[in-house]
Amino acid sequence: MENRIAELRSAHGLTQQALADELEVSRQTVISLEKGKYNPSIILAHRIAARFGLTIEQVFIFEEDE
Amino acid sequence: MTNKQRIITYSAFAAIGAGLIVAGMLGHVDSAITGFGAALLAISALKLFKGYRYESDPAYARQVDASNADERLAFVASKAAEATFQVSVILLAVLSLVLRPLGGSDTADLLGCIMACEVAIYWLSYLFVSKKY
Repeated sequence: MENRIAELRSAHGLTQQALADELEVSRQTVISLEKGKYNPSIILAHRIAARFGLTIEQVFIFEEDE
Repeated sequence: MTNKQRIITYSAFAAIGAGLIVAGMLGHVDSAITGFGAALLAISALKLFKGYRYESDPAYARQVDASNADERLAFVASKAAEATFQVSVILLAVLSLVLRPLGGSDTADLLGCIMACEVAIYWLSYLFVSKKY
């Protein structure tokens, strides 16, 4: 699943480590999320979206064939 | 288990390991038990080092807490366990089939039984977990 985490993180002036600390995950998890290698749970997706003041649908781009 | 409990537990393991080494040096136990004691002492010392570092280094403690709560790491561990199970079942089946014509029928039977037990435990776990979720 594609997402806008890297774009939103840069726009908010956050490093990967800073975002990881805020989300209480490892920096490696943020890297995997940004690359689209790991799809988060609904809880983590909600925390990410809430951090940027957006909805889950505005951060994560779901495609039907996935 | 809290970090303090972990330190107490591994201090006890380290003491047991040291005791086994001393017993080995005095000739009360054989070299295998002495080796086990040395391994226990080494692992306990490493765990104790991490435990004390967790107490004294807040940045390290945050990093450890984040790792323990990290859902991706839990997902990775689950995937690794899944792959380990699949590989072990296939390996046991192959060894069981290969050993039989080579004259190791007892070993082949044992490996076949272990494979069957693993599959049975999987199905029991599946039933239990599917009821839970």
